[in-house]
Amino acid sequence: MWNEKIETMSREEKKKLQSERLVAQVKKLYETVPFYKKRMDEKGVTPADIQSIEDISKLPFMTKDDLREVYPHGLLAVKQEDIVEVHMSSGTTGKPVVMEYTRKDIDDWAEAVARALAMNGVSSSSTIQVSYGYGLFTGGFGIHHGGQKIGASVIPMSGGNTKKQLQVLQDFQPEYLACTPSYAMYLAEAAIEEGIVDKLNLKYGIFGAEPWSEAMRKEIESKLNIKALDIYGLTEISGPGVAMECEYQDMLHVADDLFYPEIINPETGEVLPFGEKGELVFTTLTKEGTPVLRYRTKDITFLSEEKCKCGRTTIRMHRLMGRTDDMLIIRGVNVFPSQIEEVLLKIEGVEPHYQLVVERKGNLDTLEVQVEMSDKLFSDSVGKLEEVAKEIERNLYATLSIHAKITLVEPKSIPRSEGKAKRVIDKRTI
Amino acid sequence: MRQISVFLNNEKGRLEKITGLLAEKQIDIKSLCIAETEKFGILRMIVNNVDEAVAVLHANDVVCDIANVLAVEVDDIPGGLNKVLTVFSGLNIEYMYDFLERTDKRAVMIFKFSELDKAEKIAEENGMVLLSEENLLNKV
Repeated sequence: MWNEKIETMSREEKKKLQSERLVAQVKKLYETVPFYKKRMDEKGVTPADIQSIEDISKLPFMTKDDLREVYPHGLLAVKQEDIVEVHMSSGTTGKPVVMEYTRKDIDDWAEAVARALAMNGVSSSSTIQVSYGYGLFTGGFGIHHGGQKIGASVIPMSGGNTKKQLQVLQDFQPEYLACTPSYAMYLAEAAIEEGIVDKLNLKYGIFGAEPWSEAMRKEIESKLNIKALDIYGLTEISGPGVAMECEYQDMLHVADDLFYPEIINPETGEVLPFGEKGELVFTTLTKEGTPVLRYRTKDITFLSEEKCKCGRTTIRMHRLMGRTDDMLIIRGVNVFPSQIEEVLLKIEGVEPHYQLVVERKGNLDTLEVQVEMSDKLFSDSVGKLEEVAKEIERNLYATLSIHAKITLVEPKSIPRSEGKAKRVIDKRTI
Repeated sequence: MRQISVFLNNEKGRLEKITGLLAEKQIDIKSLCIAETEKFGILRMIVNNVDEAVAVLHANDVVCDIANVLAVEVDDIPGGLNKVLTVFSGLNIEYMYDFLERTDKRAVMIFKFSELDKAEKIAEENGMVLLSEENLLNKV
């Protein structure tokens, strides 16, 4: 265990620690960040009302839109000079959510990732190939910081360039591969095709940033002959490492001394007891740069406080079971139907009648966008219609960085319910 | 000569829907052809009442458009079509299909040219017989 004291702490002790941290955090935020003072005042809460972790339910919720509104520096709780790294949330329209990290924030984040990695045997003699994207996205840097904290060799491959990925897997013999599950599947198939699986030294996969199924886990495990583990995280809270599966693959251990989880009823905001399914909410307890109170993740899952067979006493979360909004995660990219709509409507003649069909073909997510034909868009030439489809595809790629298959369909062929078209058909079984 | 082009999903029952709508209005389909792709098709047809056909299609949410094509008489003998194509060899033919009914060793071919005006001029210069909407439909 990377941090046995914290990871096996009794629930009583943990609550005491969480309480101390929350009380200090709220007091500081109320005094230093006008955004939080305003939100607390609106709810009629003062720092004096927050005496222990149980009082957390008195605090207001934050949504992605709230955090976006204060772009770029509205969440900052320290001096700009104390910031050493900046990340932003991916994929959404308008302003991104900005997270700014002090040196201690990076260290806490690395601590969470180090625990997650060490949970599955990463040590200073291990080698990790990080095939998550490096950049504003937190995937690559998060695993990088955590791996280095342990003292492992980190290979910052970033995403793409499958040939080179396979070459490095062969030549540097990493035991660990960190990437999205769909990319892992893609790499596995490429490795099988090249007949090099036997030449690899992979033992574990650290896979996250998109929902995946138990069936997919089994498939990756048998294809690469590894143990595949689920890691959870989000930029708004820090990045990967917020929660991680141990060797028993029985729910994810939340680093609950750093990130406090709650499950709420998404309709009423009421806090739900352990075991009940609802929306996952996180509060950062130690963050200095851009702390976040009660962030509604829109992810659906449930929590357990039972001790795990591995000996850890942390709260555990079940792997993601859905979303409360219409966000789709396609090959690790967050996609909102509204973004696709925006792209479509910028094209002359395209009507706001479309449908998204998401499937998993050979374990890679595919997105088909069906667009209803209109008199304006129509042409007597097959070539011109195909060019229309290509233009839509190019524009979607330019905005979302994912390739979509465009299908032109007859008007009214997209089913409408109560006058509104059903926008998304997700055929993936998660 | 006006032709109606209709957008169709490439799936069963789509064509029947169109012929049904036209049948209801007693519209006669004089000729048709279909260009198909994996997902969609374009139905092109010559009918005896273009305006009414377009009206009924639009009223039923069918996407359609009118294209101007050239109806050219062709000798129905070996080499007849070749003779016509030789005359048009400098022009791009987007597609062509034949008119269903024919008389006295003469066939009629429907041509869609990228440059309709040029095609018309060349046809006239070469003494070809071009049929108008009116006389083509009256003739048969």
